[in-house]
Amino acid sequence: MIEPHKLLGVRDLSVRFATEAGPVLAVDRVSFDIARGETLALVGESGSGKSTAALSLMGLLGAAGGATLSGRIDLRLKNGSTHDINRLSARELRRVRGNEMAMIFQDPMSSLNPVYTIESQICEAIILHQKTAWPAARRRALELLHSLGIPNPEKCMTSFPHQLSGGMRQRVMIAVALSCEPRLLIADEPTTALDVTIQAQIIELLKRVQSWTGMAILFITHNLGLVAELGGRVIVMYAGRVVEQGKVAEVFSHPCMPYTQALLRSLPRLRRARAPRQRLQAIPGNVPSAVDRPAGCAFHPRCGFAAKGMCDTRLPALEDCGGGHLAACLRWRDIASGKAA
Amino acid sequence: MNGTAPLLEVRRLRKWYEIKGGVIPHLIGHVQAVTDVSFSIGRGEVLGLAGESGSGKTTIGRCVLRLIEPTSGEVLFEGEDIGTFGPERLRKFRRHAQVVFQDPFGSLDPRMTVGEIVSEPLEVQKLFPNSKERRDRVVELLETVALSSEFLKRRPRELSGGQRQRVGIARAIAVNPMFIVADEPVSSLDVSIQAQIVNLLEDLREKLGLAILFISHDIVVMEHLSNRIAVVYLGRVMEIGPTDELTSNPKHPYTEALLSAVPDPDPALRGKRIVLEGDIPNPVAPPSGCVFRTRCPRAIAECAAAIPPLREISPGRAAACIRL
Repeated sequence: MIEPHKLLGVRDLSVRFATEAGPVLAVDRVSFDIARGETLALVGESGSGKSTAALSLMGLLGAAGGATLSGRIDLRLKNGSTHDINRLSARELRRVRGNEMAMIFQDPMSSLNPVYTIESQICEAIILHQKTAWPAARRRALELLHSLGIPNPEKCMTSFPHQLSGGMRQRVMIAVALSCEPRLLIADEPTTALDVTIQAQIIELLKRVQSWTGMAILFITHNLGLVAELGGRVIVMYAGRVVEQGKVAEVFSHPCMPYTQALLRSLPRLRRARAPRQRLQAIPGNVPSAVDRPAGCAFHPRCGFAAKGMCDTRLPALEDCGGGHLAACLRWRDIASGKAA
Repeated sequence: MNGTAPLLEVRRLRKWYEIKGGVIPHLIGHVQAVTDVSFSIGRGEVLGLAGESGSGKTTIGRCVLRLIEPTSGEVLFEGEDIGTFGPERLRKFRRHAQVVFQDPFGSLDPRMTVGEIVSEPLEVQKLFPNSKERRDRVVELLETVALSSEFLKRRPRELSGGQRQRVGIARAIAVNPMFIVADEPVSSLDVSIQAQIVNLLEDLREKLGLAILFISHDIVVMEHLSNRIAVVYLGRVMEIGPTDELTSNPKHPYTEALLSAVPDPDPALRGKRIVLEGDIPNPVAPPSGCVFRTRCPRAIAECAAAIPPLREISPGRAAACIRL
């Protein structure tokens, strides 16, 4: 059960895939909450498990895909009842998707059907989830497109996806997602395929939509700059686990986990001639493969603070390093006080 | 590059693709991918070519290596027009000018081993005819890009993205070129790996005196690597100048908007964001006059009248805007 102001509570979520190379633990005992109207960013590199976690929230990973899920995903519905997504039937899931939570993806071209017009795709979502008739659905679709800043909504409705630009397609996807007024929007790298000027438009748009509707957003990205832009809270994932979480401003100004520290340092930043050019501080090595993860802390082979006999054997748990800011590092105290070499 | 000729000079480069249509196919228009682009690159210099998708930056990169034929304009390499080169002369030119592609998977033959991939350019250019010496050179190259002889027998699918991009770079520098075109070399890599490859490119530039045409949509990485930056939009150069001057004091409204759209981990540092409206227009029917005017926050009626020329605004710095 989750607290009254919480919309979603994830407890010990694990996702296992059976692959030719052996079982892969894509998500390893991940827990987090999302409050109503909150923005939570899930950040990590490829293979960190961030997208897999998001798909499982929508109930999109099942036995058919070779995935085994464990743990709980409690969602509070509009009618006040809470349900564990992992235990809903396909039929019940269909009622939850769209109406309670919706998802937008990285590549709007492959998530829209190329042979149907935009009108039929938005209206389909509305009719399916809200049991309205076509004229009402059509009015709602037009209204949505208009409010999402699409210049000529009537013309957009009769277009096919390939006739629209990447930014417009992503707006259409957002319209489909918003059509049934979900209380949680899961956005999986929604701007990664877009140019930066278009990315800026979509981010502004999502923020605006959030302020009208009061919906919560779970934003999945690899871009730390975007996380800062969105504000709210952040969860940093590495090799299937949560390694740090807290308020964005706090985590970015005082990261406790060496991976977050290194990631922030390795990022090239716009200098605008304010500072001299400095060599980037790259993180050595590679992101570990999911079939062959290091023992102990998964980051220890790349970590400058790793201690022998400690970090390579013991799995660090998330610890509170002040005011709800959590980090999974055995040495965070030593590192913070400057005692770790 | 005082007085001495630049290594590469591009003059009024144009690449328009013909569009045929109708029942009896005939010419109905052009995709104006690149229009009248001019710039030069000095020896050992890194020129960044910044632009969004559809800006023509990749087309420019391919034209300067003659991987595709430009519609008009000239590309001079060490003062010679590469458009006049025959097959043999072109092969010799490629000994000095190489390329690194964005997708390190698509650009490596999956059936070849890393050793074969890196030694192929040496064979084509008939360098190191002795196979033992050639192998030593390949190992040396792999070590230069921080891989080792262990990788000789591996195939691309066994490598991570960062390792594949290192192989792509080793192949490009194998023939000891003076110039490489790096087309989005870090865009497909993870954040923690990007910095490794950026540092590697920086080292190579210093060690080998390489000139690089660095093509990217990521102006932050570009600011870090380039001596000068050219900003392109819809196939035309909007602004060109020394990196620090251009990023600290952008003159063209597009450069300004592009820089302000970059998210930073510290939002206070980013400054005021200019959100451009609309999308990049269709290159088949670009706007009249200044191609950026349809999205420009400072556009006036006169902007539609004539194409603004690239005018020098300070030594080495030029912008194409009538409102400066």
